Amino acid sequence: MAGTLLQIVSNIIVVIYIQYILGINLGVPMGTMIILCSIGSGLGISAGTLMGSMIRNERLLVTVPLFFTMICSFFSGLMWGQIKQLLQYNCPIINKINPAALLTDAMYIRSTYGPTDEFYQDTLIMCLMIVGCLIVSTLFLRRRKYVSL
Amino acid sequence: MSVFNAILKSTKACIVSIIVYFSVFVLFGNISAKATASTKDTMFEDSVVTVAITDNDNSALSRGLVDYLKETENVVDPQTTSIKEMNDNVRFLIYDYALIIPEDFSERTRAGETEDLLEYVAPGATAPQFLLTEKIRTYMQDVMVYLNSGYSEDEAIALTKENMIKLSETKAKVIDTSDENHRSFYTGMFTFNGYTLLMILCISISSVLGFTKDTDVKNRINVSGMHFKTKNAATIAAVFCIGIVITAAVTIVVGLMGLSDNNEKFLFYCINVFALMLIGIGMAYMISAITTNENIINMVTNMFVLSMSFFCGVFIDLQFLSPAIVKFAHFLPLYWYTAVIRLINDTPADKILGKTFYEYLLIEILFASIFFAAGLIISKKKEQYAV
Repeated sequence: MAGTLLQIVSNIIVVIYIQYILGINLGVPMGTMIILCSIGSGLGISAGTLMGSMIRNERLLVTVPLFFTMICSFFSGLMWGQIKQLLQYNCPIINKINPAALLTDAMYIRSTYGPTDEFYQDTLIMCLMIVGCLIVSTLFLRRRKYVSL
Repeated sequence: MSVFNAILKSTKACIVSIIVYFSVFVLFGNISAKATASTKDTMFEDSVVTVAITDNDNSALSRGLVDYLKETENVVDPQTTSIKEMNDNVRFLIYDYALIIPEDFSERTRAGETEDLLEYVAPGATAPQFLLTEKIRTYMQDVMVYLNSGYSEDEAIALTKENMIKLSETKAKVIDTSDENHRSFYTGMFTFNGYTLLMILCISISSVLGFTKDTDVKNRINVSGMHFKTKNAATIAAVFCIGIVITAAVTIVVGLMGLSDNNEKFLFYCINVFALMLIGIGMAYMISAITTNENIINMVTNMFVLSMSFFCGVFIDLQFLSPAIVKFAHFLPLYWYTAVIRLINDTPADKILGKTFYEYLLIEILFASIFFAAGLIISKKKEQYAV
């Protein structure tokens, strides 16, 4: 909770800085942007919790999140703009399970087309991912045995 | 030699991180460099727009227009009938222009209408797209003139096509003597290298220096009776050895990947990379002075290097950043590294070695010294206050 809250606050600061100080219009209403950033932060924290609960090896704890974020960012179009649209035609399921693609897609759709069905779909999938990650993490982190008091 | 060997052996603890970042560099750096590379051979050529045409009319007039565009542009299948998807395809550069010929196109043309005959989707941000819109408008106007002059539809289409193609055959001879107009593969690779090399050096060398500060290790070295000058010299030599090996490995990989691109400027890129190595070592020393906890080293390094990469033109070209950000970036070392890369890319090989090149390298070395000095001050203050 604390991590998510900190992440949300820092993202809001970044958004306010970009929109009002640098003067770059993101094209998304501020309220919606804050909600999307909050969902994105929650998704990141819950995915990190899941990885932390599943991976026991300390070295893998560095490499797996790094690879995961790099791959998700690449396939969301961070490094090569066309990849997301190419995947949309050839393998659209990847765009629906890639958290980074969901977040960028939600922001793109909201800024270009407004609050369409696809926007709500992306938001819902992200929320479901958060819940799913937390449930699986709970299963891994729960105790198997409890001391009898 | 024991301190030297011990430090080199301690690098094994962070070998996984080194391999990961190295793989990221090889894979994503290569993709990014190949996608943005352009050479003199390909930079200046007749601009051909990729147009996706949806012909809902399928009349002689619409087919005539499509045939004409096939002669001069690259016509592709739109892959969809949805306007939204066409807009997305144009936005994400699957094609540059989407033209939609409506069902009543030929009827309205014969009726003499000239406004809004066709629909199109284009970002409108580039000259070729604007010119294509004008070209289509000129084509339609010519067809209307022929039709109004009494020519039949087939004659109007044939004559207009002949005239428009003759116009398209106009050639311009471009004398390109400037290196500014293209971006070599090495520029792309070495730019991306700004992020990965700094990450590898900061994490590995900070961890190694943190190892030497471990109480048990420090006590063992002190007990050995080694003179502090020998100990420090061994530490410095080991750190530089690690830095040089990593930097050399990265440089060799770039050289091997770019073998097909004959570029006599490779040596200058290498000099710049070794200046970046000094910055990486300086930063690593400063970070190791702040903390020896590996998780915090990772966190601080990621935070610092990643944000620098965004501000200084590594991930996003400087032309897309606002002037305020570019001004701020002048206070970051990675900006000067990318400035040298831009200088090498834009300048002919025999004119690179000059005042500007040396100035930028000196600024990079000064940044390295500042980081090193900051690390010394932090270490001293921590000892003073026993933190």
